[in-house]
Amino acid sequence: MRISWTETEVDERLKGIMKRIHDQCVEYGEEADGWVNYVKGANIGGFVKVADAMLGYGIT
Amino acid sequence: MVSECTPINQLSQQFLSCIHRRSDRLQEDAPWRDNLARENLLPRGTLMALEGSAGQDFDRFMAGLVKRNPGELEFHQAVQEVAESLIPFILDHPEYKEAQILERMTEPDRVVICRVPWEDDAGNVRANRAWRVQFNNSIGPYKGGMRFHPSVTLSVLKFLGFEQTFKNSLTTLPMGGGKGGANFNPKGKSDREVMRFCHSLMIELHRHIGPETDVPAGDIGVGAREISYMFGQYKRLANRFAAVLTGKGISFGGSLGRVEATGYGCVYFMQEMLARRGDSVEGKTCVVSGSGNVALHTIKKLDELGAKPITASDSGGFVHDAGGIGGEKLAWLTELKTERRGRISEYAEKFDVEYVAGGRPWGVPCDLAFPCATQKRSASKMRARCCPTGSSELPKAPTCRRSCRGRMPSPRRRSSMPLRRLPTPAASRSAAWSKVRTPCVSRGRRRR
Repeated sequence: MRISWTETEVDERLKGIMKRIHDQCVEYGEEADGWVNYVKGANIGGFVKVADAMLGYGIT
Repeated sequence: MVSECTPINQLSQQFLSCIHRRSDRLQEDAPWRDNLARENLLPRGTLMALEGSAGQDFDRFMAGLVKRNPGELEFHQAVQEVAESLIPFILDHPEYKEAQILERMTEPDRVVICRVPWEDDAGNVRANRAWRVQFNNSIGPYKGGMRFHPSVTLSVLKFLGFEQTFKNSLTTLPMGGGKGGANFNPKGKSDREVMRFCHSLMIELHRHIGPETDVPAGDIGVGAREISYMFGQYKRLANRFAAVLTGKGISFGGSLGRVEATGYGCVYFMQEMLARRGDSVEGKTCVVSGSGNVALHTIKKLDELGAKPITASDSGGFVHDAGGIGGEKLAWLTELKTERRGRISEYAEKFDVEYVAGGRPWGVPCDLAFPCATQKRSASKMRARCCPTGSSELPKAPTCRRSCRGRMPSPRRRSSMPLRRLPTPAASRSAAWSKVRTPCVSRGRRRR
């Protein structure tokens, strides 16, 4: 709480986040021949998390 | 009323008349699709790519969206581009379709619209309009920037808020999507005028934000100065030092490394893409457009990691430094652009390198391309000249998404592919499509 991360810590976390974003793009965007459609992967990866939460909440 | 001559509106009007005539033979009875595609009024690859029931679902969904949100062209286009990817996926996952998830996700949770009265230095009373679009808080508090620019409209903010939802979700952090702004132009305003505007805005906005509710950040026209003015007023009204705005000064709760994060993140993503191919950025020749925050930090990180960034640009043109922009040269460029606010041509004079007035750097041979400028034009040119093979996208890049689709069109077809006319008024274009920040791999043929 209210304690700033160091610049190195921010950078490490950024790297981790970018890696996770990439992994999700690959998970949802990889096509049969191994080529990755990053646009599709990003769209679906972003959608699934929100959609699953909304499914869980019921009709809200 | 919706204006004419826009792809989606034509699509929906013709679509609606079509279903009125013969709802059971939708697919066969849609010659307008071909016409629109021939006239390039529909993005190539959209309807052609979505055939059969996916195409039918897509048409029906888009027609409904346009009908519910008349005239909101930027919003239509943003949804359309996401829906292209999602509708085939949703067809494979009927639980999402049954729950009408996409339909619900394209409706913001709420939109706050308010008047922002303020007094200018000459004593004149002024009034602007401000919005906060709270789009989706399913996975966390609303999170997204505030934009102060004369081009800001509800449509632009809904477009940005919608995409913000996806973007924040993809980060894997618990953040929902929101966006806000005002049709206020900070350009030419004094510090005190900006302060009075920000304070007045916060008098309304403080009711709607909070650490667990909605956490605005900066965007175009909203930097550390504006965030600080708004935070000062929030703190006074709420009597709480709460984490309610992103982008504050370091001394009062701001984060280190935030300014650098976009540019660095861009390079880190590229590294991940290359790592997948067993490669790295080291030793690669990189073309970068732009010379703002994103471009400068992209160049800096590339230089640190042993790559060779060779270009940078601004609205006047670009410089091509075959020896690489790095070290002291980069420090000089950073000082030029952030302190002295000079033109990129001065770099060419100083270091005696090539300067191309009015050009974009995408014709320069390279291994990797980083469009880090804030103008969508960079992406269009990029498609035409630089990016025929593999490419990737960060979530928030509508134009680049189309331009770097990652398909490999034949040379003939590519040359006959005019850039799609965008349905946005010229004034709002640069702002509305300003987030094209996407690394692209431009060498190595795609197998097909």
